[in-house]
Amino acid sequence: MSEPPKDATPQTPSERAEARTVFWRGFVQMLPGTTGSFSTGLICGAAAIAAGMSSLSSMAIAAFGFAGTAQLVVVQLATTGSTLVVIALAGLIVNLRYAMFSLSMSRYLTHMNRRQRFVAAFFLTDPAYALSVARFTQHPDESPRIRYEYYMGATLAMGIGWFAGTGLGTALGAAMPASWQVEFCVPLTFLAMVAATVRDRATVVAAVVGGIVSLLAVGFPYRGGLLVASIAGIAAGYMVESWQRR
Amino acid sequence: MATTLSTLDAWILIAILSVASFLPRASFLWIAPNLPLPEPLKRALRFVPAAVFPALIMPAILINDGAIDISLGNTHLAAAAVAALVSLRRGNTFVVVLAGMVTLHLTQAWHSSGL
Repeated sequence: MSEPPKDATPQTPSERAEARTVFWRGFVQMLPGTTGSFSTGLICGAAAIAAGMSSLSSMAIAAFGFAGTAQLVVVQLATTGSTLVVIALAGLIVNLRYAMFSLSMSRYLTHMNRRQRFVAAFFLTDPAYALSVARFTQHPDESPRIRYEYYMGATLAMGIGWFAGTGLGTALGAAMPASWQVEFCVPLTFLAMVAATVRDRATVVAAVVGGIVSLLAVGFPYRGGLLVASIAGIAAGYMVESWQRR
Repeated sequence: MATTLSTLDAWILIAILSVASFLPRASFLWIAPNLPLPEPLKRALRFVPAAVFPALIMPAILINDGAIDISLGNTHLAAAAVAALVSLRRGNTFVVVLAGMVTLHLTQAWHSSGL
């Protein structure tokens, strides 16, 4: 009585063929989204160089962190003299949404070995998550192995866009004069993300309260204002949602 | 105002970001696939992005020399306003950033020309 292995490795020749097809379908369907990872990489690479990082550390932070927004946040906080604790907490807060995605993905990718679980977790990104879950809900009968292939194809496309963008941004970064003020690209990038994160009344309140408190808390020691403002915004959104439910 | 990072700073930062990025991603996919999450925490997670981005943006745009600056002389504010308009018209990130940066440099050139 041999049980089939509980991982995402295709078992039969026909399953292998299907896995390959689905992998490349994920890759191709992710391509429009890679313009975003490319441009974020471009900005991240240039911002890292502007902050005084070497080309090697700029590429390393992109590879080990694999998180555009959080990278912009920690680099920005570091150049404005924040303490390590605030930098680490801010990085964690910005990445907290991944815990939400991680939870959601784990319900679909139920058949993975240890290595596959590591890869699926390490390379989790917003666009690959969104595309994959959209596919999973449209094809509820697909096996967890085939789902894994689709997600990996999408992830490969995201990774290529990210590293190509970071490489170009790192290379250009050193050539860009300070008068260009490349560092102002960072808040502008965040601004472009606001529209996607604000969907209803509760999230609007969270955004407004977060923004106002961040201004009031500018003088907080160790640049702790960001944490105070984030928590205030989250609490405000949570309360509005609670009232709406009544 | 902004300081330049040393080599040590950079590698400490890489270590911090690596951990801060991997832990939330690994939470359910790698560490505890079957861990039940309390409902209030799940609901609070939903508001994280909405609250964090404005908190990052507002000081970068409105704070000038430690005080709130809502004057026409604040070129960051003009640039952000244009970027916000472009963003509302569903421009992608790259177009939004480009629009903001072009506005920033145009308004700064205008101010320094003394017109």
